Amino acid sequence: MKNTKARSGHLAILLGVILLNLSVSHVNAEIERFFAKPEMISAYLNPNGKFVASVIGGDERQQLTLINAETASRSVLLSLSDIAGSESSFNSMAWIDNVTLAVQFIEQREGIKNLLDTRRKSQLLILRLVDNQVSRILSVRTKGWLADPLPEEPGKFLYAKNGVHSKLYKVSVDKLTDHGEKLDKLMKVDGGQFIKDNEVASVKGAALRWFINTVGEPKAVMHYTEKTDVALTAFNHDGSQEELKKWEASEETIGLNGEGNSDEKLLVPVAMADSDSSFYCIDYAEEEEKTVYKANYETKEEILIYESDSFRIVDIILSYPDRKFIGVEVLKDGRLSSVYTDQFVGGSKSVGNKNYAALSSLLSYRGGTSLFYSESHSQPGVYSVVIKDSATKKVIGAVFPKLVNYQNSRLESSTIDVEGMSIPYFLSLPQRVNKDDVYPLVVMPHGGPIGVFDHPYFDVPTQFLVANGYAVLRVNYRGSSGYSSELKEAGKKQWGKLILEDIYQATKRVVKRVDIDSGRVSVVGFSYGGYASTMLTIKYPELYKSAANISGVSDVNLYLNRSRLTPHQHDWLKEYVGDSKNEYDELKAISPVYSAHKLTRPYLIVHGERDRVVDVEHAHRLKLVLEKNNIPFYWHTLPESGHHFESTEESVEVFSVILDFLQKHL
Amino acid sequence: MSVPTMLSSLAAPYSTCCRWGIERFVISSRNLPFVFFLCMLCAPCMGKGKVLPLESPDNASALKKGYGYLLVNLSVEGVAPSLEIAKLSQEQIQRIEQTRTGKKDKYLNTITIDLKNRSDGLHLAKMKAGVYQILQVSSPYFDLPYKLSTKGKRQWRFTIEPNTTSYIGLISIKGERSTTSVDIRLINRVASDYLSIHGELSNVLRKAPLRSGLVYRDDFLRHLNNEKY
Repeated sequence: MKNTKARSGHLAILLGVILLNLSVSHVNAEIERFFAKPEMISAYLNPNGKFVASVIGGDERQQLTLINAETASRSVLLSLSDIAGSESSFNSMAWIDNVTLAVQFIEQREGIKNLLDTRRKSQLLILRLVDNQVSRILSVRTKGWLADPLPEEPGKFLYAKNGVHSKLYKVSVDKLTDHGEKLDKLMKVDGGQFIKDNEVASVKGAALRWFINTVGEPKAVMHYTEKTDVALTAFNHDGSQEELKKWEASEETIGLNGEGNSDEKLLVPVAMADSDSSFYCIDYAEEEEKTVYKANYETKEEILIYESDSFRIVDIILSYPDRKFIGVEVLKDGRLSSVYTDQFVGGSKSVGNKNYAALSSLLSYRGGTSLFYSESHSQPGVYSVVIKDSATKKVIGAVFPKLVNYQNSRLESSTIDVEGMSIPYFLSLPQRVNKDDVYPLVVMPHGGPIGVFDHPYFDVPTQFLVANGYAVLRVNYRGSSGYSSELKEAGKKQWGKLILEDIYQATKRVVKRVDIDSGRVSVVGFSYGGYASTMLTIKYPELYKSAANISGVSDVNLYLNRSRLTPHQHDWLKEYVGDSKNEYDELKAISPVYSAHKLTRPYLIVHGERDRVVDVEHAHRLKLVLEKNNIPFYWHTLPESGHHFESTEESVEVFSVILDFLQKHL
Repeated sequence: MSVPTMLSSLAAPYSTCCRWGIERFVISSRNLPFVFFLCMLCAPCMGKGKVLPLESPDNASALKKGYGYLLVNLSVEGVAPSLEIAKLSQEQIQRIEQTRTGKKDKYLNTITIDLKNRSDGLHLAKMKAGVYQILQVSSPYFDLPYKLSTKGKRQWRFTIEPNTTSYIGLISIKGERSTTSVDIRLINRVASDYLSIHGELSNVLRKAPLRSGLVYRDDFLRHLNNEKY
């Protein structure tokens, strides 16, 4: 199956349709090294700066770990397997004082049959430490959540409890009872602390989030006012309440299945910013929550301060003690993961030039100790501390410890002008061994395509391919976020047009380099990237010698006619991709399934059979057309996988297939 | 509107067991208790249309004149899932297309497809040619909300042509749910189901050829079969 000639040959006729199988049995140990679950995904410095608490996970069960800031020695405080069954997890945490740690614990349990939300129970555990070991595990039995750890008041914290009137209570750790302890009749739940005397603030309706200032005073609350209406109410100094903002929801917006019809921004505050009326907000009107704004509800000013490269943002991270925005919590591979900003905000610094990219964020400064997170294009994230005036950073943990100092790849950042638009791209290259080294090139268009982008920092799939001797080109084509609104908006209705042209022009530029083998270029992409891979190899077979389509769209009209899209998503897709009703023929013309019979290059299709974003039907349509035209191709489906291959096993399987394919056809 | 008139207007169009003469029945205050009793008697039938039986592909009965087959792939779980469908008039189609909603429209003569205990896989139903709207998918679970309204949604509309087999896709209803949402989807799987359709329905397709039944345009089948369109 080298080229078109193969199709016309007798052999191909005899064989008819061939589904070529790629063996995944010889799973490379190196693949597992790259696609292991992140080990350390967050770190919390205690008030005196002597210890860091972290959840150490990896592929093993989670362990709540205490790390000595001076020696980096670790001691396990609590192992998840000791207190819960499988699927449970430690979530966020906060230091209440130097020896008291609050941990949100999510327990998965049997629940009511067929009722998913009864299987998950969230509980706040309070760990009392003595000599770096847990002396007592307490818990708050009253349903609610930790609103603020009150670091200035040792042994106390603010706890939010919902009801007809939602209230904020100041709770004392000393009065809580041991986790799991059976209470006798004379004992009061949580020491009877949820009483008027301990009430700090109150609001009518169910509270969604309380906003506390740096000295532990509640300044505002977001809460329901009617069944579906939500308001942001501020607390004035005289104790009165003032409505800063109200969101009125129709039945459509918060319906049975959460469908919405708003086409405006829906900036929901998640943390206080630098004034009482200024908040960090996440835009919930997006197709997925990927943007953070700073909004002032008095002046109506809205400033975009952060865009996630691809993952859904669930919360933001503030530095301590100045509470500046330094990053976001995203839902990545089914788990919460911290992503720190590379923008010069809140003490974070980025170092970037054409051949190097690194970021370093100051997460916390307490008791003379600074806690940093840093990563670069070839080094995965590490957590480190600097104690007092010491000039050296001590590394205390890493996101992917097996990949630290594993390779020293090169990065070159550049731009190319295409149709009046400056298109950024990154070229990652293996470390040069000989002066005359020439590398095969893998072009990896990112998914989306609108509102997603490739960043220059550590990217696992890129580094995996580089470690296997490939140069990797990632193009932030028009439609990508992370640069300018002009670049993002220029991607409107350009799925099969200028977006492909951007990638093609960048590839043509890169293959002119002396260290790139222009005869060995492949294109590999996920989701929209899979679509782009198919289209590029059909349109430009002289350049792209093979293509891998992972979870890709093959029929754009089919993609637009999904039954479970909300009216808002329909409108968004109509504006950014096209209108299937009125532009069917244009969208058909850019759909790979209707031009797949022109495919002449080795081609791989990989798809999860439980993909809920791009249904597996897209892969089956291509399969039928290719079979009908006697065009051989590689086919690999994963019965239990969705759109993203979340587990280590799935990632290893997919990248084994990709690597095998590239080694055969590049 | 007086109470008796309201009662009769409620009873007449909806209740099949009241068809025997309610229009000629003169309502007066004297027989109001009887009307009330009658309405109570008919209440269980009100709002429910006829139940459309599903047939397995290997046991499909012949089509009457002006009828075609609805072909659906089912993957349904739950206690008593069902679909509610209505045939649309030309006037209704135009109005729904213009307003993008059909929520305020009145749908008479609705059809219920009972999905309880239906095996996974392909199923057929004989239907009169025309345009149909799936109005609602139900998946009851104790007292929790269980209905997904699909009124007016183009992706939940299909056409039946005489002497053809109109494929509409996979209807998936998950038994596992949350307190506020049910996982219900209609997925166009014409390529994924292509082999099983041709394997299981070879006899049916000889008399009633396969076509895409969804109301939105989908050229894939015709492209695959090299048909002109």
